[in-house]
Amino acid sequence: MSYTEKDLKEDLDNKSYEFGFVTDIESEKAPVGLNEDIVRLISSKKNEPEWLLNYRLKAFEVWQTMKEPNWSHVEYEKPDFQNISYYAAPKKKKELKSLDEVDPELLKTMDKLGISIEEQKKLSGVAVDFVMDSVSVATSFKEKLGELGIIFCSFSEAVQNHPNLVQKYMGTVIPYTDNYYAALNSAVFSDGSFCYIPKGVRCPMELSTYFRINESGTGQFERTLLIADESSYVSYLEGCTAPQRDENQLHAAVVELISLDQAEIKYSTVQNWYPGDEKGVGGVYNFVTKRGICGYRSKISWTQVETGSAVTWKYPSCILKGDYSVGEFYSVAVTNNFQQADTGTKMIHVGKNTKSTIISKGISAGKSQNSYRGLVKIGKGAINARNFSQCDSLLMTDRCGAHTFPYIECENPSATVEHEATTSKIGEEQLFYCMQRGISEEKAISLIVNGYAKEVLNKLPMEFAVEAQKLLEISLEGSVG
Amino acid sequence: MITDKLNYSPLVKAESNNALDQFKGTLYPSKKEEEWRYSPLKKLRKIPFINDSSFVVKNLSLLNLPKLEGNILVLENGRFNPNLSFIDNIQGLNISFISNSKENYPYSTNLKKEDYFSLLNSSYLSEGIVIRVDGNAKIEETVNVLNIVSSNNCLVNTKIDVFLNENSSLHLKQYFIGNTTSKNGFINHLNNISIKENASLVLDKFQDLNLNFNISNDCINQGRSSKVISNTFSTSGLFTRNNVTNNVNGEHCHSELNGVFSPSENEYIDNHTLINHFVANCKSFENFKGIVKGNGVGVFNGKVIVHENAQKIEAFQNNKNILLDKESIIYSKPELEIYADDVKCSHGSTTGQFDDEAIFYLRARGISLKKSKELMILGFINEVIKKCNNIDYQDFIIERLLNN
Amino acid sequence: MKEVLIDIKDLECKIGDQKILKGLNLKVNKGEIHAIMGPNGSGKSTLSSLLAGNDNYEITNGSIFFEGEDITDLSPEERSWKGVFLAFQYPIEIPGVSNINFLRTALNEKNKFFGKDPIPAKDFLKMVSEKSALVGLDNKLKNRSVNEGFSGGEKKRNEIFQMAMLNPKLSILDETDSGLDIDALKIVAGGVNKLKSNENATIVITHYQRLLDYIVPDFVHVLHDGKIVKTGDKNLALELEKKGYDWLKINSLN
Repeated sequence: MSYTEKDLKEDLDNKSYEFGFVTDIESEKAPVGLNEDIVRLISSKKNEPEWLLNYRLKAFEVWQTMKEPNWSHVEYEKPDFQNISYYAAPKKKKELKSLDEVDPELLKTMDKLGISIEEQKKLSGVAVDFVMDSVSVATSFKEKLGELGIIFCSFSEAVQNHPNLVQKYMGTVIPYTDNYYAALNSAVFSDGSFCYIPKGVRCPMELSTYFRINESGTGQFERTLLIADESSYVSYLEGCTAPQRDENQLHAAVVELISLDQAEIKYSTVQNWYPGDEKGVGGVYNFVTKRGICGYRSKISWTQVETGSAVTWKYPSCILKGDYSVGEFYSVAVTNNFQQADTGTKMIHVGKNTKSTIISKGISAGKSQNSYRGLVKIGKGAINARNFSQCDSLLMTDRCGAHTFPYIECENPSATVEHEATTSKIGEEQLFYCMQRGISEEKAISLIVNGYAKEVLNKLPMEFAVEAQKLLEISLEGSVG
Repeated sequence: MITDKLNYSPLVKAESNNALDQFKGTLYPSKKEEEWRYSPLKKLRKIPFINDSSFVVKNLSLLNLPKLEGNILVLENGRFNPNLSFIDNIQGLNISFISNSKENYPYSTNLKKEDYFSLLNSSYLSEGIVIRVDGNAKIEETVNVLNIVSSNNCLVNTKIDVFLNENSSLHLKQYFIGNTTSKNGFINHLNNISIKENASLVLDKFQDLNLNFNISNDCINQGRSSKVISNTFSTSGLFTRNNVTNNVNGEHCHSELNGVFSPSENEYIDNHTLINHFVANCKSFENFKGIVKGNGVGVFNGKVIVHENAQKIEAFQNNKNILLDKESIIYSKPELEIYADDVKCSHGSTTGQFDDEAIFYLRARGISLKKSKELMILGFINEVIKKCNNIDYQDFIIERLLNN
Repeated sequence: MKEVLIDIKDLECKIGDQKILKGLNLKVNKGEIHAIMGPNGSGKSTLSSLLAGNDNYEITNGSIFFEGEDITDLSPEERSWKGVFLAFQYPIEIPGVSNINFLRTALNEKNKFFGKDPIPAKDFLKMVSEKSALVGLDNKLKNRSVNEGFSGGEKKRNEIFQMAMLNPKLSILDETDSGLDIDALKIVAGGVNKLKSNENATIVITHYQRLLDYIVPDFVHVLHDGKIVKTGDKNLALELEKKGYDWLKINSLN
């Protein structure tokens, strides 16, 4: 997918949200509101086993006793949880084996998004599990992966076909008691992705899932469970775009990663939910809990490019439990107009000789607020733990905010923890230099910002890197102060 | 614990006391509050505090102090002790006591419910000192204020108001001392500092509380082109907490907060600082070094806020810590909140241990292991220590830091 | 009969699971200069670190005698007091500690060990200016933090300056020539030669023959795979320069 100067010009002419459109597919919706009956309804609709229903019910019970957190550096109108429909599935539900069977409306949507499945199938070898609202519709490359023993399917399918794996690992990294949104998700999650890589297998392709919020007023409660068995490797891509809506939409996903001994998981996200318009009306609330746990000599690497959502609350974390395990977090977060982001990571060092790296690049424009919040905790037993954190903020206007809230908790004297952060304005000399060479201001900003974020963008798989660069440009349009 | 046995201060207007009933019975914030998450408030909560204004210290030479020069004002158990004090009349310097004033002391009305210890201070105020420096007066002599707690369980609420008028300067040295013979005494102190245009203040603080508690709240307000340098050295104390709020209200100011803190066995030392850049064209520097021994706990929480329109701010924040023993703990939280774009702000925090290679190098030159570690500590704190221009004071601080 | 200064017997050591020295023997008499040469990874720097007492390495066999006393288990500072000096290949930077304070502490610790009084400030400063002239160390550097912001050459000169101040019996120069241009090399070597006497000895560890033009050795040893595989006079160094090390490896295998 190449992006030409012509495309850029078109984008510049049309500064409204690029992917703002609604796919017209009939949906089956649960009644609005949340109570125990709804939880039971969701579970029975999905034909779930008893243990899973009980899990949902316990989570719901806990959720009712919890309060919505307010410690983050964001302000928004709290969602009315009784005014949300907790289940929506496309009505024409049937088993699909090939793309021909996919609803043409859906294919059109994908074309608009620029993620033609056929093209990706042919060119990049990416298996796509396409989530339309909450239910998986098409999964490709399944057979090929199956030969290697890799399971890659929707969460619901996994519950039906691999109940032992789901029961063994679900909720082990993020228990339903973890936080308000995780509890909510645990009670009402609709669907999501499940992935299992067997021992010693190196997944030959990037696994990817595209999420979309489609139904107006439908909360999205995705659940992802990814297990990399001993000495396996997987790179997983997750990307989101959402259609333009005037009312706020809630997205409260849970992503659990389990990286067993000597395994490696690379989890990349490009997040581009609808951010609201120039006046701050509408946009998605993105309250996500993402966490992974590492076994002996294993590694989890989070890379994220966050450009969308009206409010983001997200801290992809690593529990470095195994000795010699490694956690990484690379993030670019862009906020424009009235967007608010409070994002970062938690690196919990438990095992010996564990190592973590945090590189965070925040870019604030318009009247937005962009916060990095991170925790580095070195536990008592984490002998020789090492952490390096670099958190930079770039300010584009004099009406936005850039904030850094690192928490460093060191309880072992053999650890070394280093944190650095800088905040500065986009370099006027750099801009002038570019413009003197005939580069337009918009383009110059995009160049400079891409350079600034390069360290993180480089960590993305190729397919995403292009899209991510494009997103940065679009997100910062008209941002010059 | 604050009980009915404690008396409200007769110095403060009575109506303010209503606000303080929250302190009766239990007292204090909870650990759930972000600002207090690392504080072992339990330590404070279980002590039944009393009023006790007796004088115990017979002679200052009995205390572990550096050589004192200039004015010496001694508050012992919250009361001015004239026998230990020395006041020299200096042109341009006016010192008075709140207890001598004919009027009631005005209650600080702008305190919020969360300002627990400032509220506590205001309602149970034991004594206050007001230091005024006339316009254009450069006070060469140091003003030393010693705040000593020498009785067990004694709650001391003291306050110093400092007013530096235009173009004046002052060097204030504060000592918070817990007498080695006393236990569980608590000095809850408030500094209210106002620095007018072009004035400059050097504030050295030395805290050696031994088995006692100290919470020290500084509120510093700076006018245009003024300068403040605050150096805080905390060598011992069961529970020592410094809350510094530095409001920079005028342009072209210089603000500097430095500190060395070294909690050892069973000790907790916490530095919370907030620098508010309300206006443009100012510089602030912050440098805190922590050395944690035994199962001591050290906390650094520094926040810099650059408010809207406060352009051309340069703010630098630095916190470095060394953990010396297996049980040593450090919590570091350097924060930046920036609402203006044309700024240069940075912060850094490192926590680690001595470099083994450097220790080997020193030992290979014939320096013993103990001495090598001392040298390394010296090197580590040097850039902060040298901020004090008095060699005696420097040596004293070093000696206390190494030998605590 | 020459007096033995240091006698290394069957020394074996490892770091982690890796064996580095595998039975090294070396005897150095007072008044002698020994050069130890060898390819990368042969154990040269390990040997110098071990002699100075770095406990990163685990000694699995053998012992080190210094003036007849077994010093194998002594701490680095005790060895230093007895007269062992290591000029580091990479001198360590110690921010915040001035060179002067560092040296005075070192001298006084040594005095304390021998039951002597601390050196008076006046005598100390006199000594500093004498000894620093020996290697042409810039006066300004003396008040700076130890090695901090020094150039490569300045660091090496500072090592020799410290050597002069501490007046050791055995000096071990670990790759002192690395990173030096020819002029700096001459100055450093000149300093070493001036300090030479019948009472002390020097071990020069180097990669290249170049340094040995200026510090002329009585013996040249080749270290290979944790052992001394060949010993000769200064001509051996010239031969190595021409032929490299490979011919020796083959010899030692046979």
